[in-house]
Amino acid sequence: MVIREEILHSVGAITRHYQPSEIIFNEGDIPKYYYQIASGEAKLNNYTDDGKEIIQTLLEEGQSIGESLLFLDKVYPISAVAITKCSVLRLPKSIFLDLIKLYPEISFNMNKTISQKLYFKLIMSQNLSSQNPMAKLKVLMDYLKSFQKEQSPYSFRIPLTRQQMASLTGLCVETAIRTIKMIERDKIVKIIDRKILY
Amino acid sequence: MNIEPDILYSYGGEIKLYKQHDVIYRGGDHATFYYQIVKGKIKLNSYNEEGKEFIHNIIGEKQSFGDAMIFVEKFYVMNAICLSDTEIIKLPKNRFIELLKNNPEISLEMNACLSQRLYFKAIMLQSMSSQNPIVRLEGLLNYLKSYHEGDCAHSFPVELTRQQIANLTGLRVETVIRTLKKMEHQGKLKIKERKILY
Repeated sequence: MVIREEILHSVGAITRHYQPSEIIFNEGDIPKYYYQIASGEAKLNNYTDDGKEIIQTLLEEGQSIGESLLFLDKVYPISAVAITKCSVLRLPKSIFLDLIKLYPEISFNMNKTISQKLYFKLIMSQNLSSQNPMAKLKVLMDYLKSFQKEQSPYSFRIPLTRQQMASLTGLCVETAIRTIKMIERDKIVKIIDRKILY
Repeated sequence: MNIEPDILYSYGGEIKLYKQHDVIYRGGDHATFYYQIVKGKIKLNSYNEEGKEFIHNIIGEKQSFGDAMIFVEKFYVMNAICLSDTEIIKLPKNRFIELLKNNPEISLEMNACLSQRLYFKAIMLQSMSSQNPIVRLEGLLNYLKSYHEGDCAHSFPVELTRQQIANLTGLRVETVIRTLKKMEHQGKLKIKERKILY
């Protein structure tokens, strides 16, 4: 959790509820709030000029949404969209910035959070220039698995749909599906009831 | 990020001299220091599975590098290699964290700095998925420029060769050359003695 929920409530955060695929904020909006997911999952995305969705980040309970924009004088370069039903804590930007100045440990946590997201971006942007779909999917799966304690083969269930895996790696969904079948044959993953075990 | 050298020294920062081609750290190493360049230039690079070099960025005076990895319990993704003889202030990770905790305003600045990188990385990721070479090149150039202070038009000299730009954007070198000329005609950049000013 980035900021403890009690703290957020105590300075006046309100909880908002979103339905799946409802928009939390839009690309081009001016950042006005700090958002933190109390329950549910969301994604940050944008679209290429030919209409392909790019998922930039997947977010879950306890994570903040688009917080880095509150430190910059820019509009959102991405949209935030609920994937499942979501409850999100929302706090006006000015209060958030006061909070950060008042509590150095929150600022320090924010250093960590933003670094974590930057790390993911570094890996994914290295991945985009790769031409090999198998290598691309493997980089994504390795990244996701790297946060698990259990590292033995097939112990980790990839928590993404094929479409999400494609949108994260810049592949067409058909290519992603074909490649996943290929790496199953190569015994890199197992597939049970369409779930990918890595 | 640029922290006042005196503050770095007071927390145990030490000057270290590197020769051209020296490796400061390698991808796969643990982050154990904060690094800030006093004099000289370094590159952050990696190699793909076919051994092709990708230069991700070139960092110069008064700039830090690899600092996001201090906050993330992960290995470096890239190598840091000196392009010239380089003078660097090195501060052990735990002392750096102490420095941030004692100096909330630096932690706050760190947030802004990391956010800035994340912002341009997000835009770069989007533009790299585009089929339009101009969009791809602009995404890369904006990202590179974001590391440098001073925003005036046509001031930022791009230190990458055409081939390196091609590797980073997944374009062919002929396409890069042609697209750069086109962008010059559109007034988006200047080319002086083969150097790109953006």
